Amino acid sequence: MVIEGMQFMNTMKGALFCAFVLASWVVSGESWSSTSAQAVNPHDYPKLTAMELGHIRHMVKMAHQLPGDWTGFNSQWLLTERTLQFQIAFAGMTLALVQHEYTPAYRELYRDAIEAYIEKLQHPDIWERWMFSSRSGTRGGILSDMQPGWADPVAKDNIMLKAYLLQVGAAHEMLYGGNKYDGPGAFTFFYRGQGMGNGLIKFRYSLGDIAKIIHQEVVDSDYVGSACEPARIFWACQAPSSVGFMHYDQVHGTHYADVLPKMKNAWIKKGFIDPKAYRYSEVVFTSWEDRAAQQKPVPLSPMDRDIGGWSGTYNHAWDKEFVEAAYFGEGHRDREDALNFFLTGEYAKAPNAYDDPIHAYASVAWGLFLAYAAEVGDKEAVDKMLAYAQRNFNPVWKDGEYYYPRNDDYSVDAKGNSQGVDPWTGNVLIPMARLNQGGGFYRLYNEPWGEEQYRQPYISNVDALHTNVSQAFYDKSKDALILTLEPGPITAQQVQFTVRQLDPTKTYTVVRNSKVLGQLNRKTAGNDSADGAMTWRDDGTALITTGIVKPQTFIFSANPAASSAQSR
Amino acid sequence: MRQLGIHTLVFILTAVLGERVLFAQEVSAGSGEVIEITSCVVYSVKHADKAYDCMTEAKKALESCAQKQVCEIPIGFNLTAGKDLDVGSGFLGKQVKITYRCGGYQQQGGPYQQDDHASLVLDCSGMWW
Repeated sequence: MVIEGMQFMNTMKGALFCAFVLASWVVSGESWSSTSAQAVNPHDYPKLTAMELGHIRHMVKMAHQLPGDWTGFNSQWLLTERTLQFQIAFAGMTLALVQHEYTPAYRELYRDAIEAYIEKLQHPDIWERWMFSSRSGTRGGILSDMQPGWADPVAKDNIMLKAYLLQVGAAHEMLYGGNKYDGPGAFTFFYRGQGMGNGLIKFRYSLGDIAKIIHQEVVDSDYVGSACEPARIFWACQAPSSVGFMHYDQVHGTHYADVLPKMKNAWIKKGFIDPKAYRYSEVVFTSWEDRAAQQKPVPLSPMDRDIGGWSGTYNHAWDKEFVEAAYFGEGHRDREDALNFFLTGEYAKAPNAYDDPIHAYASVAWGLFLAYAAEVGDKEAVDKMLAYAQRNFNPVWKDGEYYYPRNDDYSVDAKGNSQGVDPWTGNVLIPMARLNQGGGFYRLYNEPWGEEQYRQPYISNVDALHTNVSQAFYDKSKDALILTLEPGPITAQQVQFTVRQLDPTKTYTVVRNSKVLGQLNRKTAGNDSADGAMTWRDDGTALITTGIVKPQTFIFSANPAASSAQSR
Repeated sequence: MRQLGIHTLVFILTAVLGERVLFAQEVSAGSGEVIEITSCVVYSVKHADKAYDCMTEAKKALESCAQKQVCEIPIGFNLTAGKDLDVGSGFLGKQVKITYRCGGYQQQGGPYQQDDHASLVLDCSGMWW
């Protein structure tokens, strides 16, 4: 019995020893791998807040409204061509900024919405009124009567449509590669009118056509710019196409953006910009026949207030130093004046202007200045204006969307508070500012993506109703993909998503919420845990299943080569 | 009485079916016709003497539609053999007008500016009224 007992003890010791050795190996292996993944700190990477996600969800929802459904868009700033195209394009560019700055490794949500906005820019509601604008007339002293006008919205003038086609289309090309907008007819405008017009007619353009036409118009105007309405050239209207040239050049190897300093120099030389006082003429009138002839500027005004943000927000990308200086003005006085104007309600008391029966334009100017302040990194001004918005603009949470609904009450109380909001400001400009941490557009245009970014790991097939992606970033230096998924507006217990473009020769340690979920590679093909299942599929993608009742942070971190080889 | 009932039924059926046949004929008379271009001209807005008969070019473009009832005819410099009819007159300086027939119905497309990015849509599908 004693001997049997000793044999039993020895057997147990041996088993325990083996178990200890095995456990040590497993633990050391796992701790090694997890150390590799946990060296990546998710807090080091950009992450969207709940409010920012709400803004994005709202802009994405509006992008996907059915064609012709402009619910929530409509403004009472009634330019002849209306103003929807501005709101559409600025929304597209806000999403492009977020794509570039926050969630480079989650593309489908942004790509699809940007494409939907580009589609909207071709809707007849957006461009048909050009037939009114192109007729021009006596206003501004340009003509003694209206002209026959023309239907083609791109061929001549109308920079306030075609600049946005170029800007958003070129941003799409830069972000996602491909040639979606390069072909003839990528932009198509079909006039079906039964009343005014001489029959059915279609106009077809490629992105390259549009870039070429705008560039030629800038040259033909003696570098003053492409006209908005006939014979009216606005500095603000040049900004979207100016930066559009930058992205277009980056993708196509052209040199259209070379025209930008020439244009600015022409404005200075002709006295339309005073570069020392930071004053400019918002609009230059020209002859009807020739945009280079009879150029007459309106009186100079500060470059930041009014619609200065329209150009400043984008021109920062190619003229950083000057645009920042113009924002502040001499001795920072222009910035102080503008901030005071917008925070004391004076903007809503100012006389109505520009086809604006209710001060909606004042709200747009408010939003444009905020966007400008955000781009040049004036955090103090941004914080003050956002606080004003929170106090006065009655923000709404609805179905996971966060925005400031239109309000036509532009009265001002004794404390300088006004509640009036134009949809362009409430849907887009405030979100644009909140999402721009400073220099966001500068980086969008000066740190373009290319093949390297297109080949990096990213996620897709995310159910956006159940899931918000607040973080999606691939860190090349650490070969790690960092993700945070949060519950969406519709509750789900579990969701799936796909990780694409992981390297099939590598093993990835997957960490979820600081705990190692397992090793993922082509050979082991993942695991089948009930929660946190990972499947490496035959097509090279990985399918991940996870709970989504609360936020889930993932790190997919490539193990160093030796470990990967061992795993294989 | 029975014969009267039969006659009444035949009368009603004839009236109803007859109306349907008549309606169908009206529809087919307005649709299903092939496009026949009857004239095409590109002309200078300011100089009446500068005009170009573009029938040949327009008919050639129509051929690509292979007897379809709707056809897009590009109205750019393809209609003037690549030449500018009035050099220096710019985008607004030249216009295009095409007349065409859908069976017995005369139609007109344009005048619109001569435009390399534009196509007139000639329509004999019956949807043009």
